[in-house]
Amino acid sequence: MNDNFDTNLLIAAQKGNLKAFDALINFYQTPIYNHLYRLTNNKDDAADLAQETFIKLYKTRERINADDNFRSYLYKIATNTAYDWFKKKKRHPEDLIIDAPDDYFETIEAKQSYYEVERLELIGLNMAMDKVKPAYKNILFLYYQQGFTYEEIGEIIGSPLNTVKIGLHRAKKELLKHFE
Amino acid sequence: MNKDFSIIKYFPEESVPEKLKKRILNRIMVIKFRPLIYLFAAGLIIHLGFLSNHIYRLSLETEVLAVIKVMVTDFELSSDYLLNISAGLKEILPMFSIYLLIINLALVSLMIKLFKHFNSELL
Repeated sequence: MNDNFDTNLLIAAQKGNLKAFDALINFYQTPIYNHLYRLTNNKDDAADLAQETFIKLYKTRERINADDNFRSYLYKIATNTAYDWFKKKKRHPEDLIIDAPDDYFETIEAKQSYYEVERLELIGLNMAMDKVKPAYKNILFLYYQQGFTYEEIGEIIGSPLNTVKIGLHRAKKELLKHFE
Repeated sequence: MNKDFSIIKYFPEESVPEKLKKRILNRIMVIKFRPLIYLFAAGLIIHLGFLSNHIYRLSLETEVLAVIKVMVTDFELSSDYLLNISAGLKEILPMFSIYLLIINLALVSLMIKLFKHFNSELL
């Protein structure tokens, strides 16, 4: 779905067209549900959070600027809804934040060659991902699975660009640590 | 390093629960029709209040009729007297409860029609 299509549906939904909103749900329910499932590791919780996400979208649809990136906005709602859920579940607060950037940015030197990394089993990586803290998991999925840019991820999680880059760097390190 | 983690996009996708969309749309319907639902609930409460009052009055009438029957049987009262009493009893019937019942039935049928209309648009 390109941006124009999103915008047209959004404008129609803002005017009260339920069919347009229905079309938005049809297109986005699968990626949103999967994103939330990856964060929560629970299908029922993911379904509840996905429902909550779309209800919030419906309630705030008139406030969305048609020029804004709709996809980022929707993922922002989903992420915030998931984080509220984590807080209610009394998860460790540090699980929800990206560590503050250091003054010195360490560049990643590949300890494993490209071909060694290619040998990583998908299942093994999936299992390792379950051990990564939610804030880092969120960035990894937003970047690699959903294809968001650093700027878009920054909008979604409400962090500056540098923090996103550092967060992604640290997320990858943590994932590798749990995989090894 | 980015290439190495691109495998993440191949993580298996879970299928969305069947009723998720329906749940979302039902909640939206409730949000959309909330004022009408409140109006209907208020009307129903008022109607139930008048209806209970009406039932109470009817029960009183039943007692009154039983007393009249005893009076007619035991004291041989005239039929004219009985006619006057029954005419008076009819005035007790609260018309408000009947009007409210009609209004509430109309509201219920309107809500059902609106729900069906919007549901048929979406399905």
